[in-house]
Amino acid sequence: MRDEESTARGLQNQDPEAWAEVYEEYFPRVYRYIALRVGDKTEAEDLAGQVFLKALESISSFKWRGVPVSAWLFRIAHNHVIDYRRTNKAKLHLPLDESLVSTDLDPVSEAERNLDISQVVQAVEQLTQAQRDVIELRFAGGLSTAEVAKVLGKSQGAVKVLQHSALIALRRRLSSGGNP
Amino acid sequence: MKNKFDDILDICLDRIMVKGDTIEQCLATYPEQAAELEPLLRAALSTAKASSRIEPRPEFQRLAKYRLLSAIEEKSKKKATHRIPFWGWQRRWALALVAVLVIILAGVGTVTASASSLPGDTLYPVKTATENVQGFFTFGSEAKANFYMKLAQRRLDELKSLVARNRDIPQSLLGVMSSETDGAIELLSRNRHVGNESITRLMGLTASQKAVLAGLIEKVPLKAKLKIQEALKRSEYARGQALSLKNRIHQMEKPQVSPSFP
Repeated sequence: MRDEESTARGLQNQDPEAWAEVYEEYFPRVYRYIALRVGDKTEAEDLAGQVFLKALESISSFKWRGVPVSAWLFRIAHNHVIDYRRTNKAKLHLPLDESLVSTDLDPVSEAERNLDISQVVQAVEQLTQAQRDVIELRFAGGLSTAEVAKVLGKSQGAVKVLQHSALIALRRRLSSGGNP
Repeated sequence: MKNKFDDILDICLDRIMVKGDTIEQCLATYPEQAAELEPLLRAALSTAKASSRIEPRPEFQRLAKYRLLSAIEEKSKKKATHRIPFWGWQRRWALALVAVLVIILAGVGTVTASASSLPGDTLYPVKTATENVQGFFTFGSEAKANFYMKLAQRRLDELKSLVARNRDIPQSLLGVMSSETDGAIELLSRNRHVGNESITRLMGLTASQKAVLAGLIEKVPLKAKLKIQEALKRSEYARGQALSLKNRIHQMEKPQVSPSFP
């Protein structure tokens, strides 16, 4: 993988190799982040695909000023999900555990995975929106607190505070089986 | 104090999730905060682990990648068509003049040496300039079509040599090869008295372009793959045109059946 600046330059020059590298690196992470936010596998796949097309559309306005490509991409994903949720309010309460889990496992381990994921999804859903944003970007998107701060337009200190309070709430909910 | 704990929690999370440290290793570094840290780190780890199991379907991931790369290709094409073209007779004259000057200045030895050069080599511009001069002094539509076919075959050979040497394939090489083939087809289709030999040559050229390009797709890196795919599409189209040209000529050659009278 090339360094951030040459990746950004490759993306701006519409170099297919640079785009393919970024896609391979970030598609699963963007997908995970969106899946956790919208709770539906098919919708998440479509939205994640659209995020990369949106990124391609807006690459000409991307200026390399030390902002990591990851933060730029997740900002697009974050805003895209906000738009989606605004226009698809009715679709938002889906059976999360059924739609999210991949089906290529044996029934026993699949049941264990369902339990884990549904518990986590339910616990995350009960956080405040600001806490949710941080937890989803940090643990599903795999971003650092500095990158999360850039995506959300907050200070790194504020993100750390939200991370702390979110983990306290998550811990409480996970230990009580996801119930509030 | 609270800020300090937020920092320690963040450092531990990075150590666990990025560097692969265990929770215990982190707790050992911060024994005073260990009791408060441990449940939070376990909650974070459960969340991260559960999230990591949410995976897109591989077939969708491939499809979305294909869509993205196709969109890049489309965008590049649009960008290329927005550039102001500088073609026409002025360019042809200018190229011919430059080529004559190159030949005079460089000498016959250089021109001969340039014959085996490849795109990217120092002598390659001499080779193309020489071709421009030859083209300029080739007269008659069938002769010119044959000349274009010869050049297109040369581009194909250059492409094979570049791949064999693991060298970059310039987009212009494939574009020029396709344009030369199109030029030959255009000239032959305008000529009502075109010979079988030229048509056979065109059929051979388009068939070998298609075979070579299809064979190269799997061998070249992704960046070159898209260029080859595009050239393959153009060569398939050219092959179709060559076939219909061949059929048209066969139709014209068929003896006309005169109506019989009882």
